Amino acid sequence: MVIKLTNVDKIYVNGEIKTNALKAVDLTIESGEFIVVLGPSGSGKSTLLNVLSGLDVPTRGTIEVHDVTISNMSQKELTKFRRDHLGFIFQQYNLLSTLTIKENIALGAHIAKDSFDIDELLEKVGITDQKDKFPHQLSGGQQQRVSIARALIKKPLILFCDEPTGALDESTGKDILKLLNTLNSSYKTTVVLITHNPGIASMADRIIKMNSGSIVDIIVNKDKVQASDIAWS
Amino acid sequence: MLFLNAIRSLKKRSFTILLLGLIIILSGFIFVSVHYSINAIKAPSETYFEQYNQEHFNVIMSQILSEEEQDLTESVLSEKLRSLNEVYGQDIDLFNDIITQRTERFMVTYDATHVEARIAKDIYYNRFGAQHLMRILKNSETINQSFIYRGELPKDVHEIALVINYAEANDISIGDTLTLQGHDYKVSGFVFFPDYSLAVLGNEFIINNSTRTLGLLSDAGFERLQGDITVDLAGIFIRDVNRSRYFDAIQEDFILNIALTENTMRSGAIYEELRGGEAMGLLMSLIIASMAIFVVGLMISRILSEQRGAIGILKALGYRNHEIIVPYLMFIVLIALPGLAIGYGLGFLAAEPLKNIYIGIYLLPNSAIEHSLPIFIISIVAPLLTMLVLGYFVIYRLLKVHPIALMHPKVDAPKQWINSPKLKRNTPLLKRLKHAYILRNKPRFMVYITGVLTATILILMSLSMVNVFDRMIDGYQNSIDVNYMGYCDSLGGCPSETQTVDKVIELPHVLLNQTPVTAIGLDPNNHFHPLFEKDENITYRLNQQGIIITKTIALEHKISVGDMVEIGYGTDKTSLKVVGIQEEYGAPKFYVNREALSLVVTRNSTEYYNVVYANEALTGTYIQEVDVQDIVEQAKVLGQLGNVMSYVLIAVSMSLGVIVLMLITSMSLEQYFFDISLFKVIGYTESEIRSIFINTYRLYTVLVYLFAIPITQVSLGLITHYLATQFGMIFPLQLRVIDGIVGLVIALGIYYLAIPIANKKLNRLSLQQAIQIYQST
Repeated sequence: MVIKLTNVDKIYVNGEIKTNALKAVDLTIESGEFIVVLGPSGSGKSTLLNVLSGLDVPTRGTIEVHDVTISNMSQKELTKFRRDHLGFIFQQYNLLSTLTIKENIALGAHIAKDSFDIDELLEKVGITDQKDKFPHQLSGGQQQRVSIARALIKKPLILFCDEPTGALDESTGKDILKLLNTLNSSYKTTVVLITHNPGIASMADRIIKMNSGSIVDIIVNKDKVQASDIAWS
Repeated sequence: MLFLNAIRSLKKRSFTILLLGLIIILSGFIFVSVHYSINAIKAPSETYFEQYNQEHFNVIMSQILSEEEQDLTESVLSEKLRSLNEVYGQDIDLFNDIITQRTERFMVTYDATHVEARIAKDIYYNRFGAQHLMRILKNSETINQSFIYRGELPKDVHEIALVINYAEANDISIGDTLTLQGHDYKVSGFVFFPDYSLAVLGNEFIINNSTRTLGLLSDAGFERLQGDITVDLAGIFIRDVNRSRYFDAIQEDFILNIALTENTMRSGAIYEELRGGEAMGLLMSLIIASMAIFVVGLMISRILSEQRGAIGILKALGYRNHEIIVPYLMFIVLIALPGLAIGYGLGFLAAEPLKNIYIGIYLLPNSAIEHSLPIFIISIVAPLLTMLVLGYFVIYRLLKVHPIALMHPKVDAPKQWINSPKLKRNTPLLKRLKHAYILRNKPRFMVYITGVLTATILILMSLSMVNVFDRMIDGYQNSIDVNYMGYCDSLGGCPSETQTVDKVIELPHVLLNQTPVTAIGLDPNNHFHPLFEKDENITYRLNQQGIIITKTIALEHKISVGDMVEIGYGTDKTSLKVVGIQEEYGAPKFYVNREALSLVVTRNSTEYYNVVYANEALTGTYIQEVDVQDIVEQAKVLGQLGNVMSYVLIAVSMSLGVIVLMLITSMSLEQYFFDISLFKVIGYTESEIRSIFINTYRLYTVLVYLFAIPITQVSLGLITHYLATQFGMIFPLQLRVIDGIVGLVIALGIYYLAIPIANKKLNRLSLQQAIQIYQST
């Protein structure tokens, strides 16, 4: 078991308005799993990712990652935890425009205890030829590959992906998903992917469906399909 | 809608806008306070100088009679007298004849001028236990006429008119009585003298209007006072000539020096003060206003780039450019107008106290401070218009872009310098990134450099001025153990003293390389006045052929030990070797062997002296008795005032630096919000992020400070040179190693005072908010 959530609530307070973004969530994720969190906008999937990854703290409940309780950690401890164990990929690639591709990836390596060889990783994500270019010279898909490499360089236990294909067309999106799948298989990295695209769920080990801040269903996917075969929507 | 957007942007940037407001207020405050205070002095003073016929130049005359004049005294008095003072003591009519002859000769030689004698007596007296020095003047006829500010001219021997600054400082009113040399004088009025806008009296550069002042007596009252006279000529030009070159060749033997009013400290310093004050106020205000204008431009540019999508949609919907521009211009007005108005208001309020500081030092009339339309326009309308015009161009440039391009901006190519192969080879990635974040936004970097450079230069200049007055008197104070000086009656000679005294000759207006200076005759084995060159006692060098000059003369005339100088006394001229340089600033002086000087004065005796120096109170009767320590104390009081002003300037400059650095870091964090969030998400610690986005400012602040040092050094050199050539005053404005260290500490202080808020802002930057923004973009 790599992640365990027990009775997790997250309430946002904005003036007099309280939003219960997560309601009594219980969830267990095993090491090396490829998890897809599915749900409509406002269902709480991004909030779930934020509390899972230590970007945000729950209002109530406990979160354990690799037998370490992170839900009561200080910001400083959470930073160290993210630094040592987690990787992030976002819909927007958030690359630094003044740095080359290789340097953007090196930003992740810079703080890693143990990191992959950059050139090897560039090869793996298929952008070796682009390593000396700048982000603006790359397509969206290529930029997302850089973002993936930057997340992976520090050998994270878990890779959190928030709508990683949201800004990409079908073909490029599938390429990215294929890459994530490959990395999940070859490095045994646990992947937690959030999407509103139900097609993507078909490539997951398990599908977690959310609505109104609650997990409404957890489906074990026995018929995993390849990224190239998913129905894009 | 856009206006609401503008208001929301304003709210989001409340801290930055507060700092910007402070800069705008400071700029307006400096300009308005300086100009209103100076204008309240300038206009009435100019009228007063004109109406009361201020001299255009001043002639320092030899107080020694020429051979011809000496012969005249012999024919009239059957005794050959040598000085004007002696003649004045024995026969005033003869004295007046000699002066008339001199003035007529002057006006024949320099026929573009009209001159008039200016006769004065300096008297020391005690008032409530404190030693006061008053220069008593006679009412002049046409030039430098006395301006009775309140009350009336002294009509008889028992009346006196005083300078109002002195009267107010000593709580003296019209009708009060003042006792001088045992005689009571009733104060008939308050007076200003056009040739004394600054009460610089004697050799010491002491300006203290509570103990050193001027007074006006009736002619009879003047004659009744005991004391040596000094006679100069006050002159005006009666036709157009090239004033600065007119007196290049001095053609009369009784003329020691001719100085134009603007080159005379006591009368001309005010012109420089007003001109310099106005220029400095304008310059400082312009520098700060430019920074504010740049910052407004940067802020508008930033807000527009954030809202370019919305603007693109509006353009696509068919909004006209002016409909989009107007709300942003309103935004500029909202940011700038309150600051400008507050700056104007505060400046107006501060003008009165600032004026009082001026008139506490200068002896000048003044008027009430009133609003002036030109100053209002320059301080509020002009900067506001500049900001609006700049803002308009920034917005207009953006609006020229096609709506689709606005909605989908292309990412600019990165600046290549940071990725130059050489830099990449030699500099680690994060180090390059740190510098890139500071240098990327050039206008912002320029504002930062301008602000910190201005602040550090002002700080270094202020540090160089700390203790400058002490340094001026230190050499003198360290080399003198004298507590009392007794000035002997030039006719009656010096009384005998039972205690140990030094016999000294003090002669003003002796020429050294054609410049009038004071000669001090000392014995090489004197008891109370050793001379020092770099801590070495050099009194023994006062032999018959050598002189010891003060640092003032050495610097002003570029004279070194071993050089020969020409000394002129009356018609006598001789060349002497400089055998030492006394560590002493202030009025120019040289020290010479007393016996040798005695021979020059008397022609046949080595025993002459006109002053005695003693450690204990004198027992004999002297024309003047001077308490030396009191003079030193007064100089120290002036020094303390100077130091307070320096510390205030340091504090203001430091505040400017802190505000600018706070503003720049705050804007920088706003611009790099996404990058900072990214670093946070990846797992960079707060200290690592601070090191990337903030700490580099420490290095740049130190670099800017180091750059400020040579600029300050050069500026100080220019100021010293200017004061030396303009007024013959040497101010030991020096940047010592300790000043450099203190300056560095203050520069770092600016950084450490400015940075905590940026750190706090950086730490507070919400990860959650950043993630939400990522997700929504």
